[in-house]
Amino acid sequence: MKSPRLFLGAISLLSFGPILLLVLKSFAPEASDENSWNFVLTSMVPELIVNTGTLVILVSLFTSFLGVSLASLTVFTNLPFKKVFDYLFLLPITFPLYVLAFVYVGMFEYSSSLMTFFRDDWGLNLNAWIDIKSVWGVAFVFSLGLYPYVYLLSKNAFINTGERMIQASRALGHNPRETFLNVILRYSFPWVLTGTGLAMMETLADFGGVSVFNYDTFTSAIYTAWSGLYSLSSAARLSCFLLFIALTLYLFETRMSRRARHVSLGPTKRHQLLREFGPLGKTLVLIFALSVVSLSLVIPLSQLLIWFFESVSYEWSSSYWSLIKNTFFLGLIAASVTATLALGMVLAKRVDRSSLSQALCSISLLGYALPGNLVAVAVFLYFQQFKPHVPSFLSFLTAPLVLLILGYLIRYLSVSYRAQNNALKALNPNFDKVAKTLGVGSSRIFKEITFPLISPAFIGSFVLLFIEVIKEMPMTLMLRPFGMNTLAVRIYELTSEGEWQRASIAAVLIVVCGMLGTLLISRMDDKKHM
Amino acid sequence: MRQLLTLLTLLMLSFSLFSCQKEQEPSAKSKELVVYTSRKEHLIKDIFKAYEEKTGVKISYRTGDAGALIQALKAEGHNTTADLFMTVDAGNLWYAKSQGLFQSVDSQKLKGAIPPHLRDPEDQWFALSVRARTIAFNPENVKEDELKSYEDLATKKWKGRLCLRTSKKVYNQSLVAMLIHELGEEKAKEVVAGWVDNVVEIFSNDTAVLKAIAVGQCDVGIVNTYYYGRLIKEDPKLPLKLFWPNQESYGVHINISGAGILKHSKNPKEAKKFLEWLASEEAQKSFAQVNMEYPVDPEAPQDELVESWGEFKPNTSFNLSKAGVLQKKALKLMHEVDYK
Repeated sequence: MKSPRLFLGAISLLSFGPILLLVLKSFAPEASDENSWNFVLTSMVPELIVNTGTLVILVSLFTSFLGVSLASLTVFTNLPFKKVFDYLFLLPITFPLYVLAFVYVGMFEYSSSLMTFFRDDWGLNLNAWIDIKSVWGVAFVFSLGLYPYVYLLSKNAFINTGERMIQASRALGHNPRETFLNVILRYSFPWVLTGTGLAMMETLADFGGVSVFNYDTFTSAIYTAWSGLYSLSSAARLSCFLLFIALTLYLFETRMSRRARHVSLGPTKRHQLLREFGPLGKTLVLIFALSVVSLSLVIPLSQLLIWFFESVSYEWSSSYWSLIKNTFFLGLIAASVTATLALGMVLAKRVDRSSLSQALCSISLLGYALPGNLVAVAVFLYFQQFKPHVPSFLSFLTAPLVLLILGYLIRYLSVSYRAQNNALKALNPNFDKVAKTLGVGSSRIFKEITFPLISPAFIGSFVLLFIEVIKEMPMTLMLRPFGMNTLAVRIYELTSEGEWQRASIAAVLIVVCGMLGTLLISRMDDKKHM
Repeated sequence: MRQLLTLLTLLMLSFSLFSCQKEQEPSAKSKELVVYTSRKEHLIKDIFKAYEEKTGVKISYRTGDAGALIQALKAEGHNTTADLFMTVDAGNLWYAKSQGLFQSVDSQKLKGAIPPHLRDPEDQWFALSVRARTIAFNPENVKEDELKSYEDLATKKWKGRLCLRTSKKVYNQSLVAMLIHELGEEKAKEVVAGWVDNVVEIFSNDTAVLKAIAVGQCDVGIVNTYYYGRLIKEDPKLPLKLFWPNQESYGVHINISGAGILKHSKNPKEAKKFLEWLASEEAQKSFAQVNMEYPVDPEAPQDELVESWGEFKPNTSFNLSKAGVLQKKALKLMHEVDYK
């Protein structure tokens, strides 16, 4: 079978080719700027490794703690208002990190009205204790926006762990806590890891958020090298560090999930609760759940809405309709292209299990860890390289819109691939062989087994992609076709002039669009488990 | 399956919406100019529209980050559709020039309207507005005669009283580049190290610096004039004032927004006319006023509020065309003294 391999090859050419070209070019003698690179390497990189490492570790600890604990509360306990909480826990995913960052920094700055109120009316200088711009502050705010990735994947894993496994564990005399730790958590580990991995990559690639905190990571150094030292080659070389981290993480993830592969008997109708809280326990978990919701959702949203109503009269104009339209258009197109290609990859890798196809898959997913502006340059250079050789009847292939979609593909293929791949993992690969020896055709296997199994993950990842794309800023800014402005572009234009309040309108609209998408995911989940 | 169908319908719908939009776009006329600009849409839209109405030449523009636009122009090479590149900060203009993006423009009108220190010596780019990076202070905590110069902010008496914006912002790199030019690298480094020693907090934008001064978190800071203008317009009662430093020495640091005609412009004649119009009194008035900046033409009228800040001696000896070279040095210097 050659065609799966060809397909994977083509995908990696599209999604890794541009990155590879950029990196190779940055090492070519004519582009190199050794002076700047030496400076970056010797006096910036050591500090960056410490800074970025600390942040990523803290974020992965916080997000996995929040994601796993909240998911286990909604799946395995009698947490009150479960349905509502399930939806609310997902919603913070719709906040772009830069928006959460400017809300929180704005609130905890010494000059904010909140801090002034505490100082003047209560004589309380909160800034003496809270330093929002420290690494703890950054990690705290990022985790609030990123824990839903872990939550979403852990919840699905918990639901899929299979009632029988739990029953077996209980029958063997394990108490609920042992069952949770030894059986459920162990078997859900690959999913939790995938979720945490997504949160880590988002942290690595983020530029907008860290720059509000003035916290230096690899991404901000890439920006400094590029725009301050005017050295794109140093910027591209710096990105190799990010690629390396992303690759290591991916390989670790694959290894762990290979060890823990299991065959689920499919989600059960309704889970037996592992723990029924008494009144005191119920109050405590309710307080925990409510505080997460208020920190990650109520507080930032209220601040945005306050700004929204303060500035709507002079900032709103009918041009926002076209911003909304463009945002939706890009989100839907990019999400459908990316989700479909990711599905193709998952299926192709299932048919061809060679190490070559494994390698092609892994390099195709690296773009998630790179900052959008660098990906944009890579795509641009890649296309300029080929443009002269494209025959004129195919010139639509080099249209700006195509470049932009490719940019999104490079950044977000990973999100969709991981989600769908995990869903298919539940199906034993030997199943295909057995079915085939029984004379069942591949198309029938796909229609009756694979597709029903993977379609919820397909749609789920479609929505995730949609949310990612409408939040994305730097790449959209650089690659968008003429005059095609989006809500994220509007936020950039206003915030880069320091006009945070006016930017709230576009921010609220992005969040609302994203919430509609999240509603779709959680409605689907409900249907599945009712 | 139902969800898939819903998604498909949504997709079709958005496609059709998008195609409608395309048809509504006016067809390209023979006279059209394309501008790549890092200036924000709301600062240029009305001025471009005024030119369209006056001359019938359609101006399309692509906004974005300066570094990204320069890379785009480089990659597009002679295939580019762009005629002009417009950006803020002399360093960006220097970089665009060093990458061979511009062509020289021989225009008496431009030379007449724009003083020599505000344009490229080879006439490849021209400033269109000027902003000063000066000292802001809280008059409740600071007497005006306590203030002297940028260097003075590095002395002990300002310990725990100074707020700054991040060194990653090009405006600060440009300011330190000027200090290197005026004082030499060693002395400039001492000054910046002194600032870092005195600093209370480093912010990601000038508005935050001003707010911190207004509530008394610190007493002085260094900001661009138009941020001060915007804040004061919103709330005239804020305890904030501007001070013009170094009036007895080299003057206040200024930076520019400017533009040049691209080497591969398909329409350099129209581009030149447009650039000349931007430098003319008619356009200068609104170009500078919309953002509370200073016009390049000293004769052009100023915004009332801007005028009320009084006259000052700007630094003219630091040739803005060298900004880029010194900015790299400045960035390294600031890194060395741990200015974040």
